[in-house]
Amino acid sequence: MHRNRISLYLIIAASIAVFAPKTAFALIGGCVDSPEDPTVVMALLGAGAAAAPFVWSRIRSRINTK
Amino acid sequence: MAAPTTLPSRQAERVVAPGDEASLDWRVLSAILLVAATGLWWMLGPQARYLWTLWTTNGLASIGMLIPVASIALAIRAWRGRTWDRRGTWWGLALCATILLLAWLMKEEGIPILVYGRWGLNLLPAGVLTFLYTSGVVLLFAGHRAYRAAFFPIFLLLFLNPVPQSLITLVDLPLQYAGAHTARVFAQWIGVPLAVDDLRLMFSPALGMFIAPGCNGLRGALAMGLLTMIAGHHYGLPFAMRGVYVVSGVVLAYLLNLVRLCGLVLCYRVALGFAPLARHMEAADYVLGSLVFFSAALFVFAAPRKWKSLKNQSASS
Repeated sequence: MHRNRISLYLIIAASIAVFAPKTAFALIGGCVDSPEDPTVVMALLGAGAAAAPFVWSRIRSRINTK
Repeated sequence: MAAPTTLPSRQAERVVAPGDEASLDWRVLSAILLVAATGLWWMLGPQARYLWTLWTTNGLASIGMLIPVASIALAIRAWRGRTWDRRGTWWGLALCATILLLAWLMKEEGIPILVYGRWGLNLLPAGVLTFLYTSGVVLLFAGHRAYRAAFFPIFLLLFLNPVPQSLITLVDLPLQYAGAHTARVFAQWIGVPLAVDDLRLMFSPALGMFIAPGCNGLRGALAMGLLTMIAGHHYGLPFAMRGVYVVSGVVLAYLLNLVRLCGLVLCYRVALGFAPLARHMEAADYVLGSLVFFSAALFVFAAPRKWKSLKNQSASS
């Protein structure tokens, strides 16, 4: 019952979005800048990527020992 | 004047605890940090505030705030497990005194700037002063060998302000046009109707993207350049190979920014038919950029790891 209500809500929301007139974009306002992430965010992402194999191997070894 | 000599080693007078000799001496490290921080604060007090403002307001320079952290962490890693013989040299004091004198002259007389036409270059930026002063402090307290071991972390301090403003003004606009051209060609290729106004790509009268100065690929290239420098050092790549690795990382990051812009064109294409999505284009841009950069970083860091494992294999066989 609960799941059916959610599905119905999603279908209605998607229908409104798809069939909304293109002039609705006029309300969004302006041209969106397309900036890159700040370099500090990229450095943290890069550090995460560098650490990922070590974290993964540690998780795998822990799973194997169990 | 006699040349500065090596400070007398007190190693012989010291009572060495078992296992202490081959470990990092935290008292010496604390002395280095204290003297370096005091001198730097006196020397760079006003510039430190300028750097903080720069890091927190400029997206391109923001990576600078991680440089001191990375530098200290890599220096500790380089010195850990080394025999701490305390063979400091008075050359370090001479270097520190020279830098402090220069800083005092700069406070009194102003910053020395090399001017060529409409380009101006600060000859003694904060990064150079910090690099030279820290070099002096390490030489004074720890000597040549410790300095050589930690040269790369100290060298990183040159990038406190990662890119000089003169270089940014030189390359910013051409890179913006390159990005806008690529996005426009891609949009035409996939058949998206587009009104083009210089650096502005409009998908509808009110929905479009602007190739801003902050999206020309310079940020990704800079971040990847510094990351590959650190990774190359960490995995001990030979010098020439490290150069190729860093340049490849920079080029790859720049090219992936073009991929990000093309991906963003696709997002706008979807948003044209799905109005609620159009409100989140900026967030989509950040998420897309993060995913692209993270994937590239995984690939880029796998290369030196592979090289090291192959080297270990050939050494063992």
